[in-house]
Amino acid sequence: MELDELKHAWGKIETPIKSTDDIKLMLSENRHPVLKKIRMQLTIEIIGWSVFLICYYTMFDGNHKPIWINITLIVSLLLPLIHNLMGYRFAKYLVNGATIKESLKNYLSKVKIYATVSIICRLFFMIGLLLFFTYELSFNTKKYISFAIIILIFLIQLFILYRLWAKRLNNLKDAVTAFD
Amino acid sequence: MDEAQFLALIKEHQGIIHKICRLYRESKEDREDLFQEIIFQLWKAWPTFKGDAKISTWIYRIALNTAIAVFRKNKPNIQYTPVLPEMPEQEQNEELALRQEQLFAALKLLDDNEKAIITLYLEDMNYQQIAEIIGINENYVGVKLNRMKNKIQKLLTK
Repeated sequence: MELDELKHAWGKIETPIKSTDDIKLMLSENRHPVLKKIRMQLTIEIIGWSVFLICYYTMFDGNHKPIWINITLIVSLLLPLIHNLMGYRFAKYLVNGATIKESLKNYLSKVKIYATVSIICRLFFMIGLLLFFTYELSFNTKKYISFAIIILIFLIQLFILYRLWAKRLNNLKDAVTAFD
Repeated sequence: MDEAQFLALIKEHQGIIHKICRLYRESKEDREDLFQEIIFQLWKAWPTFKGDAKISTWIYRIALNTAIAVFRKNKPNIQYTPVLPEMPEQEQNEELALRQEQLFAALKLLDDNEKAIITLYLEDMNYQQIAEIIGINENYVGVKLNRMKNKIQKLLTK
């Protein structure tokens, strides 16, 4: 097939037709597939952690622990929530420049920062929880083993998060460098 | 310009978006999601459209940008067999349909950036227009297109 024929074939492609009403619905954030999932996740997290923060002080002996431990726990829980809220706004704007190359470059810079903060927030969240629940805890062999297992699970989670962002960043980097 | 004007323009030019979705995504569900994402991004970018460029050029820029930038779902890499599942149920010229199948099968083997350049080329844009939309120089467009043309012709003559 010659290239002129390719152009002809491309020009003749018949495509589905969406109605104006269907397109109008797509302008709404409520119908956006990714934003809908982020909103759902945010709602569940906010409700869950709010319940935890209301109850933890008496239920998990927060009143018997130093104030700095309590503050560390609260901040470590709030940071990922604030970061996710920022992520919601971040996911709304994929176009960041006047040309495709410039836009992808700017987007890559933003994703790099977002990914780094995301991993730091998760790490801080894990440290906050561990600090709170292990403060002044008298360790025995069983507790040491449980503590080691929890740390291992946390490290695996961190590694999975790192891999996820590394893959996304590499895909974007490849797209940007392919235009260089 | 208001929402009604935007909707009218998108309805008129939606074929561009459908073609890009078909080129960049395998499953019908993924194409639907990408279609919606592109419409959403076009709407977000609408206040910045000043009418200096043709509306189709602007749609191509935003749509290709979105198709490359948006994060894909993690799914197993299933080999794609070129079929036309969501085409309107009209009888098409068999030869043309075969050409289109061959064309998409070949184009899907290109990487995302090459797909963007070849899409603009197939829309009859010249090197200067392609260079302006992508943000690269014309010589580079020429070099890339020649490589892709050879690659596609080899694939099509196999």
